[in-house]
Parts: sequence; structure tokens; C-alpha cells
Amino acid sequence: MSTAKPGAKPAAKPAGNRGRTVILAVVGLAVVAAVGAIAVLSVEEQASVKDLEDIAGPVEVTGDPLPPLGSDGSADALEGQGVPAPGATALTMAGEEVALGAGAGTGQVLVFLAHWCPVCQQEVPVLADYVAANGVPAGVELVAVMTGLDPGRPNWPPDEWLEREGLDATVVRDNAEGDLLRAFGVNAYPAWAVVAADGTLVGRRTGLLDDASIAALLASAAG
Amino acid sequence: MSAVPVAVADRFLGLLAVIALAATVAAVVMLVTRRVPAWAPRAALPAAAAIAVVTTLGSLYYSEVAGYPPCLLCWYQRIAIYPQVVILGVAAWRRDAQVWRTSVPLAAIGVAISAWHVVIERNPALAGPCDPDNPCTLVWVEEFGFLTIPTMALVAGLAVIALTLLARLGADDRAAADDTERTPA
Repeated sequence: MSTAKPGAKPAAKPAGNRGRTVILAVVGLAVVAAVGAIAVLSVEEQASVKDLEDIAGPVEVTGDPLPPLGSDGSADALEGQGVPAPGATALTMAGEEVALGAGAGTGQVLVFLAHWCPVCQQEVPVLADYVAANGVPAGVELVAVMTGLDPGRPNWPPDEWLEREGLDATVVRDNAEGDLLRAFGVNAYPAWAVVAADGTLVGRRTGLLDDASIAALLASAAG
Repeated sequence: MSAVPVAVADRFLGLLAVIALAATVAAVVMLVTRRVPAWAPRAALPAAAAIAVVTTLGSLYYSEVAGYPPCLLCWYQRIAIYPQVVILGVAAWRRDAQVWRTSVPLAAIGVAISAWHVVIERNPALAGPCDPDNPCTLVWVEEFGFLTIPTMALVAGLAVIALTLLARLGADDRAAADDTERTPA
């Protein structure tokens, strides 16, 4: 405990203390300088990657957008059954146009994935393994929508990520503004939207799904 | 674009975090075994203050220069570490080993938040689906396979706790030695 009286000036430091302080400061600065040098020398230049324009594609949306997911308080269960789904067109990385939602003419399960979202990074291998083992039901198309595009965030570019994971699905690109995201009312990742062949919404939900939930979603798209 | 590449800053701060982790382990060993070299308690408060300064500057670098927006849990951890710059800086200057009474509770709150942040980084589904703007589960930095930003904050908080307690132990030992000298045989 300090023995100095309150308000009293600290006693002058003895020469030995000053010496120790100087040694401490010199050692500290030497350590920081050495760490800085190691950091500079040990980091390799990153190869250049794709820009936002290389991934974001043109998107056309028709019909009314769906309300934000979870607005009825049921984000963990399918919501929005029976309402007309919006329609949209988007491009694959190869430039092929894909019809989404109403107008696709087939049952669809849309999964909205953000490359930087750790839950999406957990989900994709689960989904890829499920599809590789079980496939998708006849008359159902599994579509992965690359959205939330941001080259400044981790795990960019998203197309290479999905290719690495071996996801066997139709992969389409949202635009930079996230119009597909808004059309389907997505406000969290990963999000799922199931659309029946007649263009009505079977339901939407968010979150990490296991094999059983994925199977149920795919089956519900088959009608 | 910053003058220092972000990857170099990541490595620099990661290496400093490893040093802070080593200092924490050394301080804990000294506290447990009570075998404390004379220089260690004297160096403990300046080291704790330096760690608070580096942590503060590092977090400001990430948000203001690298452009990583702080998430909600990051803000709570900032609240726990930023004041330590002044608290520990003044204590180091005045050699006030009693600063642990203020510093340790504040650091402990930060450590608890950092620990939860690290848990949800490792198992993001625990935090639910990703917020589209700025989820706390987003891993901006990962050095040496384990040092993320919350992990670095966790190390800093533990280091502050261990070092301020080490300074206290040194002060207690010096006071006990003074009492022994004053007591007549």
C-alpha cells in the first residue's frame, strides 16, 4: 500500500529507478521494432481478386416484393404460405439467364447466401453434402443466390467459394444493390424461399438447416 | 487506402498479441507459484498500460483505417478497454499498485464479453442467422489460425488482469518486507 500522504508530491526518483525506467522503455521499443520488422518481412502480397462488377449481375424483378422475413414473428418456421411469389431473372456466372420465383415454371428452392456470412459458410458444405448424397426431387430446382456482395469483406469472391465447396446447384448473381434480396424480403443470411411450380410461395425461413430440414424444404417445393 | 497494408498490420498486431499472451502466462505462473523476480512487479504496470494503448490503437486502426465496422460486441469490449489507457497510464506513472481495484473489474467485464464473442465466432449458428449489415460472427482477421479481433481483445483483457495483480503482489511483498524491517526483534 502507498505510504505517501494524500496530495503530497511523489518523492524524487532515485537514479537507479530512472535507469530501470530507461532500460524498460528501450527494451519495449526494441521489441515493437523487431515485431514490426518481422510483420513486414513475413507477409506476402495477395494476388488480385475479382471486382464487384465481375460478380454482380443485371437483375430484373417483376411483381410485388415480399414483406421482410420474420415480420410476422416466425422467422424459424415457414412463413408467407400461399401468397404470389415475385418473379425475377438473373444470370449465372456463365451468363445464362435463369427465371426465379413466379414464372420459373418449376418448383424452386432459393437459398440466399452471403460470402462473408459465417453461418452461410457453415451451411454450404452441409447443403453440398446433402445434394451430393440425395440429389433434389424431380421437378425441383435448387438455386443458390450470391448476394450481400462486398469485395471488402472476407471470403471474396463468392463464385470461387461455392465452386470450392462443390455445391451442385444453379448459382445466380444478385446485383450490387441487392434487388433479389429485397424482392424476396430477405433480411438475414442464409435465407430460404420455396416457390411452387404455379408461382405461389410455399414459404420462407432463415438460419442454418440440417439434412432433415433441407429434405423437407426440397420436398415442399415438389408439392 | 492505408499507408500500411492491412495484412502487415494484422501480422504486427497478431505478433504483439502472442507476446501479450506469453506475458500473461508468465504473470499467472508467478502469481500462482509466488516466485516473483524483483523486476517483474515494477514492469507490470507499464506493460499493462502499454497493452491497453496498443489494444486501443489497434481497434481504432481496424475501424478507422482498415474499414472494419465494429459490431455491437466490439463496442462493449471497447468500453472495457479504452478507459484502461488513462487508468493504467496514470497508475504506471504514479506506481499505484492499488489500481487493480478499478482495472480488474473493468477488464473482467471485457474478458467475459470477448469470451462470448470468440465462442460465437467459432460456432456462428449460436448467434442465429447473419445480420445483413454487421454480424458479430464475421471474422475479419485470423492470424496464426486462432488470433481474431475478439481473441486479441480477450488476450489483452487477461494480460491487464494478470499484470495488475502481479503489480499488487509485488507491492504487498514490499510492504510486508518494510513491516518486518520496522518490527523490533
